[in-house]
Amino acid sequence: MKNFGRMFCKEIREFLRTYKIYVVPGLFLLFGFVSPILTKLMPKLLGSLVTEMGITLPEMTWLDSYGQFFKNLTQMGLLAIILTTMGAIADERNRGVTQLVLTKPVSRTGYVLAKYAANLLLISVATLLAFIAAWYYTNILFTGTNFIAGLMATGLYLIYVAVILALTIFCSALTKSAIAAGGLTVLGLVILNLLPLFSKTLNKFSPAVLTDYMSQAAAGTAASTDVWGAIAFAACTVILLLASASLLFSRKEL
Amino acid sequence: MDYVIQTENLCRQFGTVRAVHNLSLNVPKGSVYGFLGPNGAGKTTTIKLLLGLTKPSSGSIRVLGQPAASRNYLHRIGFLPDVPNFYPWMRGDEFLTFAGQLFSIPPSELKKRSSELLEITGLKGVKTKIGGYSRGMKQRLGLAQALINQPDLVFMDEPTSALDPIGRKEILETISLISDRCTVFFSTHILTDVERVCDRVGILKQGELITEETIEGLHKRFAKNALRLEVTGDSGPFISALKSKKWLQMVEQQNGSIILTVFDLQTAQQKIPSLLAQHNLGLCKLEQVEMNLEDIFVRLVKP
Repeated sequence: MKNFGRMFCKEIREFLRTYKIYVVPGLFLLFGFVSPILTKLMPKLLGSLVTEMGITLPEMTWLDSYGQFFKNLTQMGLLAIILTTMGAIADERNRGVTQLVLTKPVSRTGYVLAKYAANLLLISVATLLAFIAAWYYTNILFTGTNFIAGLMATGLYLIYVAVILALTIFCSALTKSAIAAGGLTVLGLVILNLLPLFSKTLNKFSPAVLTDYMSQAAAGTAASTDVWGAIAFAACTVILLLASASLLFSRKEL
Repeated sequence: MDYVIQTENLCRQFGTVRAVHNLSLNVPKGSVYGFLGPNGAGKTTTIKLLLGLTKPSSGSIRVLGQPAASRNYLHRIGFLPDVPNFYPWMRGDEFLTFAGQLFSIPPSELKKRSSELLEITGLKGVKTKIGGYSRGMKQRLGLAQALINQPDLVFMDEPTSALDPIGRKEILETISLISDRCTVFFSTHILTDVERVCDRVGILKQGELITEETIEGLHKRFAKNALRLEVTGDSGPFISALKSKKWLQMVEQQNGSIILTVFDLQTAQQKIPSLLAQHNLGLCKLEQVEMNLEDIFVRLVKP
């Protein structure tokens, strides 16, 4: 873990200087602003179409607004996370910068963990800002908004993000190509989402089902006690992925 | 003798390719060690092994008395790769500060050292981001960051190969400057650089060390059995007479000199003056022809 702190600070400075510190929160804030507005306007946007088809749209509520917001986060948000972090290690290795850094007193574990921690911090701040924006607009446009429910759903989303980010960092440590790292992460994500189909235990505790618990939490439904099992499983997955990333990276030729 | 690098039967295999084979190096403390070899001989792989950037297939490595696997010597070394790459968004002074922080150098000391090194490498006052640096500027920054911790041992992988003559001269001058206070291990295939700054060389061929010696020792060992003669008068009859001598292997004329390759140097040196006198020739110069490092290198590495 030697020089973890200095590498972490370097990452944060890099975010600032490469404008990632503005781009990622900006994108997430966009989801926060747009989701409630789109939900509110949806009946009007689809109004003429559904009238012709004889369908009556139910009136949208704060639950739909939250639903839209978290759907955007789990689709577009995850894609943004993978795209912005897939080159975290692979790019530096490919460019040869790691040779200069890792011939100084920096441990490879510290190097990997600094990348993970800095990216997780950035995405967590971006997600929280996005949620506050989404809650604020939902509160203005709809009645009866539940802040705590949204906050709990955001927390569960961040635990899911922690797993996906660990997977992305793991794949980035595996290869010299950022594109290959991104492809491997998407493959890993697909496998992660298919796992619950094969076992009842995984169906309850797999990190992939965190998004279901997230939807339940956003709807203000009392969370199942299984959620704690899923959180513990996610924490173990993160530890396993980061330990593997560190081990594999230590064995890589630079 | 105190050695800063010692390897024993070091091997590194990539599939069926033997990059480094049974390499036993001994680099004395305080030396400027030229690590020579043609392209693909295994120089960069050896440096990576010494730095712990890659693991050996077999054999042992000790750097500054520590096993390479321990990486406990990293705070005492500097490294300049063949193509140094940096964070393109940083400025040169920022990278030096970052590198110094990784060595836990106190801020005031770091500021002083950073300023000195930027001055030496001619990068002081450059405010451009590293992404906009030329190859030569990156090489100079690479040298500065390799020296930021005042290392006991500096590794340089072909530091001059891509530089213009001025850049090369500056890098070699800096190597000479630092050689008073640290050991320099540098790989190259530019032999004039080695003759200029190194006091010891190791020559690598297809992953194997074929010789390790001082430059002086190498010259002595590979001194040619050849003599250069400069005479006054018509040398034709003299050359004809030489051809019948048993101690002569070959005679040729080069730029007004007569080059004699002989089987027995001592006999040749004894017989030549009297033979010259018999042909009424005046002797201007008689010297032993030395092989330069390039000749020695070619002779050693040629298949």
